[in-house]
Amino acid sequence: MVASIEYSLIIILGFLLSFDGLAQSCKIALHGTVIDYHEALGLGYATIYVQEAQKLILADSIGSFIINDLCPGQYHFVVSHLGCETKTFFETVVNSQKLDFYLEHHHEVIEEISITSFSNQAKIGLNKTSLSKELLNELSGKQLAEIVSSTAGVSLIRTGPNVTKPIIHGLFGNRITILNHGIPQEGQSWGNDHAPEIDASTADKISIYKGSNAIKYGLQALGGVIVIDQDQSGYDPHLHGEVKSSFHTNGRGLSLGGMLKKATNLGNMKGTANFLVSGDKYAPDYYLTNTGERQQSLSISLDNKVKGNWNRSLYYSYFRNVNGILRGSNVGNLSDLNAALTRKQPFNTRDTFGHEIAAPNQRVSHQLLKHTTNYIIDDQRSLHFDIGIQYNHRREFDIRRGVSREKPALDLTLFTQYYDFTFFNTKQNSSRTLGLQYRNANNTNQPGTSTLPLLPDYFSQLLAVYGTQSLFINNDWIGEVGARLEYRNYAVARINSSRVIERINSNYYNYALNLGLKRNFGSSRNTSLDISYVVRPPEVSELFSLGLHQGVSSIEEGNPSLSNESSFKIVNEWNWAFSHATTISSSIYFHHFQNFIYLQPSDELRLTVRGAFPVFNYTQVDTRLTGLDLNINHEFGSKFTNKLSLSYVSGHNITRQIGLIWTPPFSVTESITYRIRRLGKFIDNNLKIECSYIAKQGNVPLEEDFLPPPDGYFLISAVAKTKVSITNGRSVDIILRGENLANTSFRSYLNRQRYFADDLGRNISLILKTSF
Amino acid sequence: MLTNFKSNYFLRSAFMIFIAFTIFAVSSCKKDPIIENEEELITTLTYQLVPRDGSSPIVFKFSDLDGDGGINPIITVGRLKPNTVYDGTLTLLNEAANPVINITAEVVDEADEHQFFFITTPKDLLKIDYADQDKKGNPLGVTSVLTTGASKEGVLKIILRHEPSKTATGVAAGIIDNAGGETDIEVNFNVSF
Repeated sequence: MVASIEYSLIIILGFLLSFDGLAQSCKIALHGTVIDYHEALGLGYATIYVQEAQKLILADSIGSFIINDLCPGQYHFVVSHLGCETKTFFETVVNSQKLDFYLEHHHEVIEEISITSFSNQAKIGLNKTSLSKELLNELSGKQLAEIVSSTAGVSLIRTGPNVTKPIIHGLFGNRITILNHGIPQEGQSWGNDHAPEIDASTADKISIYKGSNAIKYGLQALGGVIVIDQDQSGYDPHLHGEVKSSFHTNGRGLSLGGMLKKATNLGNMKGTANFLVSGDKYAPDYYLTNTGERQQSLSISLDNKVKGNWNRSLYYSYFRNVNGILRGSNVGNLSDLNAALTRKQPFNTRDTFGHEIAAPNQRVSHQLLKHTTNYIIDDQRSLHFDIGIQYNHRREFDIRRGVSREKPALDLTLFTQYYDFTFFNTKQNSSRTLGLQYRNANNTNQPGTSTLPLLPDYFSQLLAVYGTQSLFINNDWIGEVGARLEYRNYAVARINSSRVIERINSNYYNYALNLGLKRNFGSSRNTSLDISYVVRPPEVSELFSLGLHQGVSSIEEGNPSLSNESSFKIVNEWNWAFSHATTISSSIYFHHFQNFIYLQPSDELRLTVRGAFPVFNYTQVDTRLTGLDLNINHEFGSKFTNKLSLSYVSGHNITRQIGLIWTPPFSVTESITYRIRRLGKFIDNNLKIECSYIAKQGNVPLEEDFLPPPDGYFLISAVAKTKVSITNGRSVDIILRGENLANTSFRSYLNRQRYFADDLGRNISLILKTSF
Repeated sequence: MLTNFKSNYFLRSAFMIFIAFTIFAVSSCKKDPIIENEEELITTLTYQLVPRDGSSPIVFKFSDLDGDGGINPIITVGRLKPNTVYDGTLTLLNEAANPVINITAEVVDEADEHQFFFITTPKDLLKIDYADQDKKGNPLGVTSVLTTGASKEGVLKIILRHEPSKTATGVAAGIIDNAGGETDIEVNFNVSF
């Protein structure tokens, strides 16, 4: 939003300037500063290349510059600074004027404070962590959860190489929300083996909010929010774009992607397209048979100003993914599982690499259509209206017999609508938002599976009102309160265990409260406290699942008598710069749940014609998560950067007096980056070596798991990158990335395929990127 | 003052939303879900044993008509005689379907992807040999020869594996350890003779 307002200002400015345009000689002088977007400091010795005039200007030590002797006209300014993402600005120049350029510095992780800008954004937490574009480039070809897990406090739960779900502060699935271009992503998030249906490579920006953000984004956001967004492109009538490709040795994968943008009569247009193909991945000692992947994605966005104070934007995205599930992880019953658990190498492992994807596999598609309208009433007040429509289709294919062979064993469509209407009032030292939200979800089992559905058909509706009020108490103190009231209705039509259709209609009234306080100590030190209380109703899957979840070879039973789950979370974050060279950021949290809903194994083994299966029931217990994330950044001179990050979380099931299942183990990552700014034609040369240690999860409920947790392990990875200048201020980014360089065999506690196979072996990726 | 409806973008959006709401209020009743015909379901396994001495045949039967969960399966075991050779035939049915589906035919059609295993506890309880083969000459187990020795008591477990590695060590001899694949059937019969 902020960005779009900035963008409208630029347009307005452009208009004013153009009307001012009397005949000018080529004597125009531009002066200004190249500024670091995050720290508001001048960037010394930045370069500005004026394409049309073929002028190269060097800024002084504090980032100031003067460009002389320009004719009136339109210019592309390619602004670059060592250690920054190069950006192109398009400006219409009529008169001598002041012109500042903002660049983003190359920190891998930027701790940003969203509230200080008093943006037109409803509060979603005082602090957020953003991943820089540079890091996104480095991690090209990876999935969303893998990318965000490079941040302390964020980890991931996997089902083999292709299915990953993010975990924030020990919570995942129904307890965290992913905002896909402003709209909460709606997919089949109930399954641990269901990855979010988003292509991370369409994102320009990924941010993580670790506090509770249930006020605006709903009660599912109680554990945190991951935000995927695009850059707001400034006005530029020419065609620009970007091409990115990557090659990966593990799985012999290839990905190709491109972006095009242009401002037209219709408005600013932008389109992206990506595709990815990969074959069987390998563990250090064997191929992980049937773990290939195919992925295609497409997005189009258009934003424009209607007239006066109206802005609107339209965004559409399409995502399609086919991924193979490790052949040897498909087991028929408990005795198969027990046999598989004792294997060194999984059953049905082929000796050779394979590119094809056989059963079992998942085929998922997701479409999002979003429309935003923004009306600026006056300097202080504005209205914002979002519509998001999503269509999700998930099919899962099992190994089957006879006529059912070609049929999916699970075929679900989910059609959802999101309408959000928000009023903003931003004053000098306070800001307020009021919102009204309606959402619905229509989940339907498609006929033709020849199986009884695990999840019933349902139509759920949600109506919520919410409000936030923030206050700049003085320069040092900022406070914020928020509240949300939510009504939810489920209309469920399920097939019960005696194969009779049963209709259930249930209503839930819930709320969320949030209190935030932030204290600034100067410009580079601050601390914040975020306290939230959220009452979440059980999801349909938790209430009414019934049947065999083949992917995890267990019988899952919902519990229609589940009550609300209440969560109380306190997060305290610290961002502290000791000098220009050393910064520390940390977050400490305490999260208490009453009636925490989870799948608990019962003592029952159910006898079927296929043998016995363990039965898991959705149950409620009291739990507690306590944790700490820490990031320490230290620069030694201008060449070396040392970065240490660690995450610790302790999960406790209070009711049963045992550890909480699927709690991330302690992890620590240490990296050293060596940087040479310039080597002839090669600029921003970086070499980074990273070692991580992931400890053994000691605090586990052995009675709730099939196997004890695996041992801890060390992983070494490295990234080498450079930028080669071509002409006209353009360049090509070349990145070489290596993971698990020692080719260590390991099993991760948070990989659900650890029962069957080792994790991924060494991978080397080559990434090439250029823009025009 | 009435603004022109067409030019008032906001009004237009609100109107569209109103329509969307109305459509959904109308369509919010879910249709009845379709109760799928579980073609693959095996409800019943019978192991018919015809003694070579000409006495009357006996039957082992496992049936669970409501599939996974629900009512417990019914298991009946015929009485074997010591020191006798039987010709055994396995039949698999889906009796929940109407008409009843004979699954044995499907298994025979896909013989190279299936294999029955007969596992006894104690190991020397009975001797069971395969009496049939798939196209590649590997055993299937729909027909078998069961031989009893002196009086004993124990458990006979019958397993049907889908997509086992039929060429893995011991699998052709009926040893399941290296077979892999998925279990389609796993039933136990308590036998004594």
